[in-house]
Amino acid sequence: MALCDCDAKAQRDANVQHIAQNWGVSPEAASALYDTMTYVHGAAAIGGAVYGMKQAGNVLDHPNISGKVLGEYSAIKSGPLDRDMALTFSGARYKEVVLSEDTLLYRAGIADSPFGQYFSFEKQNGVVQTRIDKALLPVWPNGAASPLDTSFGIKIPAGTKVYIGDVGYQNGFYLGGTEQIAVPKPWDIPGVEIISKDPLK
Amino acid sequence: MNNDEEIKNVISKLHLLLHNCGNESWATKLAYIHGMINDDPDQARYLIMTSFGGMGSLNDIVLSLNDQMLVEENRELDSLRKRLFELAQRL
Repeated sequence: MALCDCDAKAQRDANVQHIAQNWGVSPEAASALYDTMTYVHGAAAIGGAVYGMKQAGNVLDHPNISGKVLGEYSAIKSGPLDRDMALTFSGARYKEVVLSEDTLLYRAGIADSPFGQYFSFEKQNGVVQTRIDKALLPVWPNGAASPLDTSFGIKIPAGTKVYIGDVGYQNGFYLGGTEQIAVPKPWDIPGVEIISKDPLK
Repeated sequence: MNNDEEIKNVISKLHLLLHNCGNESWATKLAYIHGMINDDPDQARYLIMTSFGGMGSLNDIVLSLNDQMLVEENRELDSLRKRLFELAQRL
């Protein structure tokens, strides 16, 4: 049964209030987050987020990774990631997954700085495509450069908890929208190692 | 110490740490933000919050030397940038 406009507005207001409370952000910021989620994922996805972790405990259904889903979170249902990392996902929506085997993940950067906290499943080949797919700005809004010249393959060991979701919108035509994998605090994970280094075209 | 002063204190520590570990790009930009806090706190807050993104952002940085991650330095970096994020939300 379709909701009337007043019901839809009441539901929206309740969800926005929920986001503001969970994330400790202003009503305006919560409203913007809600609208982003609606645009990217649709109302059904938001409903799923409200009602919880629909894949918790399941084997992850993903072509590039073998693991078990521990939970699924969003701006409405905050999860284990700190806010500064959670908000880098579109709608702050991500899955927490524990890897069942050693996994090769990729990232782009400069040759003498191979490590980071954000990865992708696909090896990056070109600078321009990487910037578009990962919303990786050549210069951040505050002027900080984000140079790119190398693609790295990094082994993340089995048993590591990783966080998977769509890249959040950042600015201009660098839209994001592809998947990113966050691996928080890799310096505290034994067995993380560089497998490959290749120049970006 | 008020919020602005604490932000400046955290940014100073971040700047020194990044400079000492060779990340001049972010060290320079944080110094720029530091100089803006008193004159234009709204713009400073915007610049701080937009520094937190995914790959290539301030919270993507993992310090390393000769392809080895620097454990203590990264723990300090992580603590400082999370504190900066919290403080900037209150500006």
